[in-house]
Amino acid sequence: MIKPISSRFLWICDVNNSGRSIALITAGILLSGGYFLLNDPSEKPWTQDETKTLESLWIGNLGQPPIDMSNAVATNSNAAKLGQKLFFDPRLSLNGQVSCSSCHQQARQFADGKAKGSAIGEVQRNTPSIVGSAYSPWFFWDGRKDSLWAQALAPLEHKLEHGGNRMAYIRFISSDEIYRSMYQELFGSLPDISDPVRFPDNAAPGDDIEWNRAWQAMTIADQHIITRVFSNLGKSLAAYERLLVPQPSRFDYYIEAEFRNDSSRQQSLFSPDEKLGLRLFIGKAGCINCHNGPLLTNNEFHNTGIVSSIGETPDKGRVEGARLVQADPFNCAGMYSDAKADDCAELRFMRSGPGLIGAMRTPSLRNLKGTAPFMHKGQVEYLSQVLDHYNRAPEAMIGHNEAEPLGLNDRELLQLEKFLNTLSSPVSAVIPSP
Amino acid sequence: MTLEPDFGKRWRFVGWLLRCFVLFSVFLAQAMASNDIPFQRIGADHYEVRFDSRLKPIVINKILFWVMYVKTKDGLCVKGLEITVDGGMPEHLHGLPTMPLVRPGKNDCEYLVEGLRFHMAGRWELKFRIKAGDKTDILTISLDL
Repeated sequence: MIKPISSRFLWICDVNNSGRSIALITAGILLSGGYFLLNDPSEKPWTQDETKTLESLWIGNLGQPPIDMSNAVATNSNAAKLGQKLFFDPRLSLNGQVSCSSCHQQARQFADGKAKGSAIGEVQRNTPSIVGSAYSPWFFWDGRKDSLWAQALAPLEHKLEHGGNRMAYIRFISSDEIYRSMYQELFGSLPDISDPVRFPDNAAPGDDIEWNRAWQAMTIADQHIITRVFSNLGKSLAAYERLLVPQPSRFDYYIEAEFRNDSSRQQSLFSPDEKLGLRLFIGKAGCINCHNGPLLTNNEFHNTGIVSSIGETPDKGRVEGARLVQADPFNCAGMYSDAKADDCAELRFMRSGPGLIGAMRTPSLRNLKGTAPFMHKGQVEYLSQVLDHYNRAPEAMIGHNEAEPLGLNDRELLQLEKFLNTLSSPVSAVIPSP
Repeated sequence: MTLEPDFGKRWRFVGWLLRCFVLFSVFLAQAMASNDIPFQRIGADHYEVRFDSRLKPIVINKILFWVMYVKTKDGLCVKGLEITVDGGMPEHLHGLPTMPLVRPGKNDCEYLVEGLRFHMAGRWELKFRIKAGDKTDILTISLDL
């Protein structure tokens, strides 16, 4: 006869049958423990397809940055030396205190650890790391520049960043013996700018009324002479920045151990939670959709419903960036580019239009640890908050949030965060011998 | 000396046949699963279309250039077709990251599809609108990356 449930329960707890009860409970614990041990998800080996996916993220597959046809000195080591010197030189600024490295700090993965970049003043957006940026066809959060050199020029003349003007920079380079020599070795003679009527002390197109007036008073030919030298400074800066690439991280060593089927090495490299986080990254959480390739970015533009910075209207993002890059005199098809029109495929086939409202460039996930706060305005302070945002996928303030809620629990979010922290590594910046 | 047939030789032969069959099946399965083989579809009404990618295998995050070979069902080339292309990932509800263009190629059968790019792994769908005079055919192809 089958006993009612309550009496069966009592039978297990019956003090008169305590020996049998203990044995049963122990067996239950052992069985369930055995079940969890045998089915421990962190012990599950990677399938062939998963290993292939992991290989696609491996830094060993990064290769050399794509050739920049718009920059004839992109791979010239003397240009990289000149660029490196310029990069760290605060004299290239209005107040003599701001260099590229003021915001792109070597000790902080070439970012600055602030919500918004600040130099002469505070700018509108977060400073992205420039490590590995030579692999991207687009620059800035909204992709308003299409080459590393065109990007490097913009802060030099931004009133809140370096705050200077191209005429003053050319004067400085011409007057400095070392720069003069390095420049001329690469690009030929610097122009004769000794005539103050033709070439004023300060002049540049842009916001500053005085400098703009002086610029407009120059002949088109003289403007072109100055802008040509200015663009060459950008190309040298790009030749240096191109060398900034991430070194292998713990994650990459883990993948290498997977290639060798070395599970004991893998266990010493990754905790069970980190492995489960990686499994979520390439699987259920779908992070790999946008964060793909060895730099964990597709360098494309996505609206992911990030809220605007407090007190600000939402950022238009790529829809504006696409318009700006098309009109940029320093773009790939422009007169200062070294490319032929056919070389500028990214620009020629660029998508624009309202579908890109609020879309921002996917950042690399390598070295996140040193680059908080996150997102285009530094709106999100902690990585856990970023993951929480993607887990909820709220409606976008403008445009359409492409992301869908992930449905991850707290444990999974933590595992994902732990995995993302395995992507930290030193940065290489070696200038090869000529 | 024996008059019994040599079953050993016969089984060895069958064994080799089986091995060849398995190898061929594996090869065929790989070829079918690969994303770099030219795919062929019949246009909705009029055309037979074949594609060839300059970059093989087709990978994500690179600008791609394809040659599109277009013939009528009777095997004739058609000059001056107006072809446009668009597409996206139906599962992710987004379009292509670029605006590819199609222009005439070296001969009347060839059209060049320029500026395609896929920025995510998964299933992509491309829609080619092929217009001749006032008649338009739409050709949809799927690609698993």
